[in-house]
Amino acid sequence: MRSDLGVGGLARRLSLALALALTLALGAAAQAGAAAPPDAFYAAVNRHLVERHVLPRFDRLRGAARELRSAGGALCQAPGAGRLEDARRGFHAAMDAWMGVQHLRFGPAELFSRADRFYFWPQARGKVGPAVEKLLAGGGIPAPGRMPTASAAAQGLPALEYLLFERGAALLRADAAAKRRCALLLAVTRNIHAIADGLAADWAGGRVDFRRAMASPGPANLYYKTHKDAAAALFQSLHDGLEAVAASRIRPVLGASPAAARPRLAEQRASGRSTRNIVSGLQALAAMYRDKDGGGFTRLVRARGEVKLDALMHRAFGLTIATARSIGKPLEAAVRDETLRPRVAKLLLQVRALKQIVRTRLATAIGLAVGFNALDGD
Amino acid sequence: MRSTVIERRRALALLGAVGLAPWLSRTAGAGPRDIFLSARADGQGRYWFSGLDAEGGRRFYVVLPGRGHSAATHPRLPLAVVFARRPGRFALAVDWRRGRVVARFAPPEDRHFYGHGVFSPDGRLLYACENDFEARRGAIGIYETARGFARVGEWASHGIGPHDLRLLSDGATLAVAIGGIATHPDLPRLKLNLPTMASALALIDRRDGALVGRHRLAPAFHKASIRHLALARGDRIAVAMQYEGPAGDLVPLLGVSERGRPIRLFDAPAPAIRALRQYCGSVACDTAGAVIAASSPRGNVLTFWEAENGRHLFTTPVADGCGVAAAGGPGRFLASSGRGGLFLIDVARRRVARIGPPPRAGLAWDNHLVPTGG
Repeated sequence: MRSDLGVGGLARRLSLALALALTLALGAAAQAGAAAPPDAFYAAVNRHLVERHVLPRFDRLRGAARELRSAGGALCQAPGAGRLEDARRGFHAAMDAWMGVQHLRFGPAELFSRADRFYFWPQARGKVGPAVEKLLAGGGIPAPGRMPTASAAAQGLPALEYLLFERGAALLRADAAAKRRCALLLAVTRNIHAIADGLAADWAGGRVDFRRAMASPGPANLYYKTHKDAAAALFQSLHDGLEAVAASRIRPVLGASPAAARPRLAEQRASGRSTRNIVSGLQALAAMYRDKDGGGFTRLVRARGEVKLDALMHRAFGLTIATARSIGKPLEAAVRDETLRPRVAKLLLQVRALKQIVRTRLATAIGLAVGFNALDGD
Repeated sequence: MRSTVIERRRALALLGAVGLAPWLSRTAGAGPRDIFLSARADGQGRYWFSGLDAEGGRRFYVVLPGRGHSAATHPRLPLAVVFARRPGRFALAVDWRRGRVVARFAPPEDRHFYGHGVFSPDGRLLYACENDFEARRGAIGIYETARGFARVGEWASHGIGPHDLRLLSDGATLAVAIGGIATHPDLPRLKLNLPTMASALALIDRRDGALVGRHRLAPAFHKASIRHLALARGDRIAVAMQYEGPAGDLVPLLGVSERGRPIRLFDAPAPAIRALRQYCGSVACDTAGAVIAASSPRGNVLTFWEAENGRHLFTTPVADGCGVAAAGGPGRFLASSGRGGLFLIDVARRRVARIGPPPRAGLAWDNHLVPTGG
């Protein structure tokens, strides 16, 4: 981000983005009568996103979870500061990989409550420590295979963050309690690996073979009747991913004023990842729109002749990610910092503007209406 | 919550101090019949509460402070209370004959509405589904009509996420759809407890808050959230669900509980269930109490079923169709869409007719249509 951009310039840019989102949304509604794109139109984009976006990212998650499990094993075999650091590095790598797929909540991620069991956040905010301590104090560490039935707060990456960062020192003591902590740590890393393995396996082959479900819609397909249906699931991920960044990761922490900021609500304070997660989450979403090969929803937009919209989307993602990077500190510190707080506020506005453009202009341009009543859960 | 002095006075004048009788006598006989009430958005960020006649003509509209959801109709007066969509906290009492707001009220600071309510048979009390979000429990707030809807008490809802409720014919038993999903206004649309959620149909005595019955679904369906209710003939309670589990699961989203008996899920053909896309937005029963209509804005369909045996009658496409209400005789329904359309459906003839003036761009009917006649 260029530092010589004045606040006024930024405000103009921002309000421009918002104004564009709103006025063009109306324009788009007016031209909604235009012929719907043919179904084949979506097939190529779906194929590209599944093969180049979804599958490699879940493979990467599986690999990171495997490494994390061995780092946990090594730590518990011979506890020491060096191995604790290795395990923490493994945790960061697994989290980075998770931020690359956490928007892909459909298909394998919703089977067996995998997404919730892998990363029950923000739902479990404030409940992870107590859930883990309860397991440690209670009847015992769940046996392999029983972990999936434990509290969601105690069985995924948040539980591991608690064990490795908040209570890392307790793992290194030479006592029975440390042994129990290590036993739970092993159970948790095994569980994380099993979930990541199941996700990757169900996407590419096996009984579920979700890659095939997305590639071959039809009357017998349980998930998608048409390529457009499958595209809608991917599109929903893009929209909901932006919504999650704004509504769960930024807004509650920022508050209406510096005094109303709530650093306590920031994500992963123990491992200092709150801003890093926002940046990597936005990068994953940007890649859904346009990846380094020029694939993604951008192809649909360009095929529809919406050159201006395509440029706007690209620029909006670029600006938003630049703002997120410019924060440079964990969110919990930034919201109370005179210089950084305005950047967080700007980031929230930009993510919301982006979401609004996706919901209105982009949805209309590629024929994937986001329903008024359909997304409510009411 | 803000409540202007004038509005409070007007409410008191209408409902309390001068008694209901004079107003009632002016109203009796001459009142328009079959008005339908619904919240809507106008595409410019404003939200409204509207009255429609059976031809889709606009009878009134009042502006809302935020997005509305459903409404409760007074059994004797041309009065309806429209509630905020969750996690909203406003409620407006509207004289639907004149299209005027007569009172505004809100739950306590640590509660929000779920969007549904129901009056007692004499209209003296209003029961509203509420979220006691810090305690993660559901509540049924009790408001007294004649005191400008002052909150006079609450009952426990006996389950998380009470969403919709109906009063059975005994005038005492509230049937409450316990959605089972915990939410908090800090994270407005996020579901906090899906791995452990437990939905139910609770039967609560409105006089003392006692739980007189509770029906749950089989453990395999624990992620099916009972959200909306309709009453069919003989106090059959139709339940409509939203499934929070995997998209490929085959879960009947509709069922019926005959008073005091467990929920019997409809044994529907798979295509009819799949067409709902795991999501029922609204449910209603026709005037004869024999046909159940269930909408799915996600599946873009309206479906119709026999109340007696759960037999699937037919399914018709309506894009973003959600609001549905009994209209004009047996087997007839009015339905509304998030894209602004209104439809009259004749189930026996399988006829669907678009009615009313062409919708303005951006007009979106909200989830529920409420008939003043029922």
